[in-house]
Amino acid sequence: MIKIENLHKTFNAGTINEVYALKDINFSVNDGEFVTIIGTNGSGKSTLLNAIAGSFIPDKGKIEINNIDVTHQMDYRRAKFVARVFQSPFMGTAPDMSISENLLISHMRGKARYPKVSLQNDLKKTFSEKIRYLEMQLEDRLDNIIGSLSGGQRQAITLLMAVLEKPKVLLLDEHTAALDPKSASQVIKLTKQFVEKDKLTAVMVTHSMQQALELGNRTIMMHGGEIIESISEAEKLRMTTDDFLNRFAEIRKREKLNDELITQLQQEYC
Amino acid sequence: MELWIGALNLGFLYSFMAMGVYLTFRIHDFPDITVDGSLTTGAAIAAVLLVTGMHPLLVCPLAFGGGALAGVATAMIHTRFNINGLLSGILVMTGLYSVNLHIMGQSNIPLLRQVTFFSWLQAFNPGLQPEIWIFIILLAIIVVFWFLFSYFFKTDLGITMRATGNNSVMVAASGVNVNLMKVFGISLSNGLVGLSGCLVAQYQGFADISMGVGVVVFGLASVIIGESIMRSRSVWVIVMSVIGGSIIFRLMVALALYVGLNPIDLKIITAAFVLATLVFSRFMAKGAATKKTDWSKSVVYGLIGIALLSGGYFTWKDYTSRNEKRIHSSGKQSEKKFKIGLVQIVDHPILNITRDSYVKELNKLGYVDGKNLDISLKNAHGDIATISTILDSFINEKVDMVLTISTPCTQAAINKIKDRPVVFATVANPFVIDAGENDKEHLPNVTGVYGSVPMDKLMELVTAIIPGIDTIGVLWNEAQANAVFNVNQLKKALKEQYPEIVLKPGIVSGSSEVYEHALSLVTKNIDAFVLPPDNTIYSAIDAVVKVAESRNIPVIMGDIFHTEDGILAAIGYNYVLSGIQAAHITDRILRKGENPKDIPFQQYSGLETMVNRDLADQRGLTIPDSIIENADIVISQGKVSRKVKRKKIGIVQFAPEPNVEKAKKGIIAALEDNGFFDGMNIDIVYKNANADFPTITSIIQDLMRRNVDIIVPLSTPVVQACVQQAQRNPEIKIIFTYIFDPYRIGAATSPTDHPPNMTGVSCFPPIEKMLDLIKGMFPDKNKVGIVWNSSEANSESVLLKARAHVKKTGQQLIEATVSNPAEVLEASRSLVSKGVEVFLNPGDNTLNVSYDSFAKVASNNAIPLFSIDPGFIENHTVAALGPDYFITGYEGGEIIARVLKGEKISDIPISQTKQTEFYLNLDTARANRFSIADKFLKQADKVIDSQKSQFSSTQEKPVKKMAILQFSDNYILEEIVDGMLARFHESGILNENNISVNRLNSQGDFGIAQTIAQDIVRKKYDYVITVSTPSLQVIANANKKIPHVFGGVTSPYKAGVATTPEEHQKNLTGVATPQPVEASIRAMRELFPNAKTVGIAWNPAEANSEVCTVNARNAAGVYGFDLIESTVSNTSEVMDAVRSLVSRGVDIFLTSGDNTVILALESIADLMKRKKIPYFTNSSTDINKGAFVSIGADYREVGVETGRVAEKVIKGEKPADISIKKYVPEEININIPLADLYGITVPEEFLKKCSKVITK
Repeated sequence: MIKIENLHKTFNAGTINEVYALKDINFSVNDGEFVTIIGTNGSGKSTLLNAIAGSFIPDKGKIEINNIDVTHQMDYRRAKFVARVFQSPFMGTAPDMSISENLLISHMRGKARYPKVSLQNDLKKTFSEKIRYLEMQLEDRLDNIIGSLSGGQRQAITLLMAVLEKPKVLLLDEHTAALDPKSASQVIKLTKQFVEKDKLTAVMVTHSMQQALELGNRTIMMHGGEIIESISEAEKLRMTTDDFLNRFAEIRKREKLNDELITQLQQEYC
Repeated sequence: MELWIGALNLGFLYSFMAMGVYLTFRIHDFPDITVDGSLTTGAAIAAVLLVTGMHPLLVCPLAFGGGALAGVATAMIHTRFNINGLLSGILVMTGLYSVNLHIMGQSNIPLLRQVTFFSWLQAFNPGLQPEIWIFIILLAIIVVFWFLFSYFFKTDLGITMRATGNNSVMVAASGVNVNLMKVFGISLSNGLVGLSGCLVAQYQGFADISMGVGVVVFGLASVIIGESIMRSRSVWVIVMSVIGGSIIFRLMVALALYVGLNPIDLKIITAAFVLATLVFSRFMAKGAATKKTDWSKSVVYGLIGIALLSGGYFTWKDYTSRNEKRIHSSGKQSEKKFKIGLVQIVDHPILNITRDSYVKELNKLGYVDGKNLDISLKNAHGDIATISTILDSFINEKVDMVLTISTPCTQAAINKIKDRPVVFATVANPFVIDAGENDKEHLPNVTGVYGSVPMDKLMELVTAIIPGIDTIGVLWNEAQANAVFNVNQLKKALKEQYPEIVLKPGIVSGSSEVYEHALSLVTKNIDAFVLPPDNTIYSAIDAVVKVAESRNIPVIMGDIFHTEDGILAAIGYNYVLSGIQAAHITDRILRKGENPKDIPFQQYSGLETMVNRDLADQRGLTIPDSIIENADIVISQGKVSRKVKRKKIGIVQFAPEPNVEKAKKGIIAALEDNGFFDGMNIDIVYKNANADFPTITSIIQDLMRRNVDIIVPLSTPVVQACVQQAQRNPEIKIIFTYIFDPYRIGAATSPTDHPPNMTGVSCFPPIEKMLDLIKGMFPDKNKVGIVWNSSEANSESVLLKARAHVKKTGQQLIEATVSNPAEVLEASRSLVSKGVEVFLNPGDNTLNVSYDSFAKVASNNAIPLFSIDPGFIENHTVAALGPDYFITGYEGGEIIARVLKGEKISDIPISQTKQTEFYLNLDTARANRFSIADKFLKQADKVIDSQKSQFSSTQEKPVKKMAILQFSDNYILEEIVDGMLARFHESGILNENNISVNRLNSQGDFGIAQTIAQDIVRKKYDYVITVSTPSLQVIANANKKIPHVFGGVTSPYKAGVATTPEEHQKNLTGVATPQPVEASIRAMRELFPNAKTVGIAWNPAEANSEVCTVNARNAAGVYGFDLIESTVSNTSEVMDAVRSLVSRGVDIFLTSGDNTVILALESIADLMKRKKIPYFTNSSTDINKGAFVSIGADYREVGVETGRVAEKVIKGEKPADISIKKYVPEEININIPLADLYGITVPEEFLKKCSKVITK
């Protein structure tokens, strides 16, 4: 589904803030695959996600989604088949509009928006059923405005909105990092359900070793703009979090990490 | 009521704009300043298209499109170049200013005569008041709009747009092109704003480049007010709240005006109101959260209900009361309270001056605020929409008349107000705003005063001061219609008269740009700045002056109120006069009941020139003497002196008779209507020859000697004398009136063939009309008898015409000639014996003397008597038909005004008064049993009928009489009387107390003075004022009762009427003005500290002179001089006496108040010059004849002071209680070049005291 070849991106080239964010990335995701990405701060995880989403045009390289070259396509055009859930629960919904209106926005994903009223009773019933799935007792409160809901509820709705029209690619950018543990686990549960149910191709960036292990098929590790390690599903099944860390140590041996970074990783992931 | 409906309508019209602001402000989250420009764009497009004739329904969508385009520009800048939304809006708004001006082509397009949306809709009006009909239409439109927009917000597109504003990231992530959505939203928003602009322009009747300024604030206020009151997410409520906010805002403005708040406070009230609603709503929000939506829904429904109900109520009220007729201001009004609404656009000195002088003149004309006048003064503080609301409030207050100051106010008023008079002032050009085609053909309820400074006169001034000038720099603001008009006139003047002068333009759009444009012009090598009237430039005049000064470039401008440093010369209007003119027009409409339709527009009369001699000297320029002499304001040696330069007019009559008085009144009325007021900008001198032929010639010669500008002879003998003078002296100007036939006496051969310095109005008696009238009233009485003196040329002309006319009418003319009054009786009887059926008086003077006999014969034989002279109507005359002498005078006065304004006499043909006055005497008719058809009764101007006492006598208050007697024609006495009358005019005391003044002159003859004195006593005058000692003495002698005030008297003690200031004749008091001898001696000491002796020559037989010499002796003692005297007894001895003084070695010479010596003044001055002896006198004009220092009294001031004393007496003080006042207002004049002769320099402090300084 996703094929990235020789991707390079430097931000603020030629200035004091110059950052070589992605260095010759080669990365592919098969249909229905669920890939998790871990890495240190500034390793380029979110940048990679942004590249797929189309938030910027890469300097060099090619991105293909569903065999279409989307390297130079604007983000909103890709958004017709690429759905995102952001880290902040406030970024994914319009706070002053109702739940059903928000759902409508994503319902129109990929469709032309005409001055006609689609939000009639039929559609509302459909939305109500879908919301029931979240198990948050929101099905009767479709006309409430989003702003009145909690962060966890909003993120759940954002997730629902993302998968509503079965996108080709689902991008999740540390989407539980800003939630309390209870909501976070709820959202992760939903994520698993949605991805499995619709057999979506998903890429998730996470800071949680636990999530990386539990979710998805492959896990890749990034550092300094490069993908330094790929751990297959089979391998993951046998690993614990400690094993993960040891893996880091091994990598260190291969002189790809230094002590400082390992300490950092340990701090972050444990 | 109109006030509220008007506010509602404005609220509706601006609600489209408010919706647009809401879209950008709330949905796209930036306040879109583009609105200020796009509103005007919509208005501009609409106006331009409407003028081409496009149907208003087509125009609106196009205006919408124009606004939308502007929005696209803003959105593109914002999304493409990532420029902050606020900044993008500002950029586009700034650019739109130029675009809009290009679209409009000028800064203001009037729509008064175009078919607008509203005028088109009036065709469907089922009979309601226009404003109410508009309300209904707009209400319907707004309701449709409300539905449409609310529906839009529920569609996919609408929801997406709202979401874009709420969270653009999320929307982008859902596949929406956020930039495209923004472009769509912002252009839709500005399209709505453009639509608002288009409708508002059609509503108020014009599109103006400045109508959008500040509008975004109104929009934001409307949105905020709306939101605060109705908090709900429901789209229906949201849209309703925006509309509601706009309406509430406008209602607030109306409320503020209704309550009487100054529009200046409007902005702070707006802010306070918005704050209050915000706080209130926040307070309410603390209540139950869930109940919120229900509560606001009911508010919404409630408001809708109120709006509909009130609209319905007003409609019903109007419908049932539409049969009430409105009372117009035309038609005679008696004592009632007049209501005037006055509105001006901003606080600006020129507008304020007009307003203040208007109110002051109204007071003088008898309108007292609170008693019979209720005047409301309003100021729109620069906001055009506020003018509309102010006018609504005037209508609400039911004013009788609206007075508009400045063009924008006038434009709004003529659009809105059609049912009552609108009078304008301080308008440069009323035709440009469609107030009329020309002065006489204009909108029926509109009239006023206007004028723009003539640019050719400005260029005349420029080229006179700077000869050889070849480049001028001109600054102006293209958006000011007045300025553009002036500049075009300037260019025209240059093209026609000064083609070699190049004009370098500097076009600004705001006062902040003036400085840099001035700088840039200076680099283009201009020789001078020429600045036609432009408010923007004038408000930044200091900047121009600063630039000009640094490069030594003169500045000449079209306004005289900036006499501060830096302006070399200026030409402009005295706006005080324009206020006065407007007040007089108001009086004509309100009190005299004239219809504005019949009052032509008047032009300003007070064009004045200002020159700054000091600046000219600095720059090395010489201002030609002719300009300085004619200038009204001269800045010299640091002093600003306003020359009260008034044109002198001499009106000369042959003898006192009632018809002449009418003619004179007519002259004055015409002059006033043209803006010339006696004592203000003209001086009128009245002369009466008292039926003595030689006197006529001496009067005319005297007027000529006094350099009177225009001589106005009345009646044949006087005109005849003028004819000779006109031929001999081509520089005098003569305008005659009240004369039957000027051609016969050789004044002209035809109306256009007359001497280049003489023209006028004739009032040949309407003999043809008279004969027709006779035939009409008595068709079967065919034989008409006339008695006349064949040596009277006037009568001969009348008879010639009569004979010719009866050939057409078939009447038979039977004539009887006489050669003196005694023969009249005989001649009348002879007519009777010849079977004459009607007697006719052709205006023959001989017949007039014996009119009684003529009339008696007629009445004894029951013969109807007709007279061409209405003055005889009461004397057994049945009908009189004569020229309307008032109109004759008026027409003459108009010609005088034209000449005063600059027209050449040679271009003005002699005209003939056609208007006649028709009088009927029913008493005579009844006595002789004549029957007179009703139609004649209706035609008559006056009907004498003692049965009905229809004699309209408008004698409310008894008129008081005041006599002013001057002994002779001495110019000093004239000055005193002028000063007095000016004082009376300023205080309005004569009007207040209903006093009529009779000026009398005893022509230097004691006998005449005696007769006049006796006449005054007999006629029981209420007050008498005398000027000069002889008249004081004569009147004091003859009259001991009537209050008597004197002025212009050197010593009342010597005159015998007083012993001390407190002890004087009981019925008199006044002002004594001895010669300022002491001042002379003092000045001598100041200028010549080392001088020892002063010589004086005098005639001891002159009482006045004795007083002066005594004063001189005393003063000499005080200042340490020795006074050496030499006496004479007649003029021939003077030179010897003077030479003897010289040989005795006097240091300084003095003559004071001595008539004998004064006659030799020039010879004495000559001698003194040769001997290098400084010569001091006590008569101000003597320095022209060679004196060194002349210290005289300012006689005009003496007159003013005398007037003040007279006022005290009029107000009730007893003369016995008022002490005689010694008043010597010194006027020091000096001839500087002579100082060199004496080897001294005149100190600065002394010069500062001088009124007139001769420097070369």
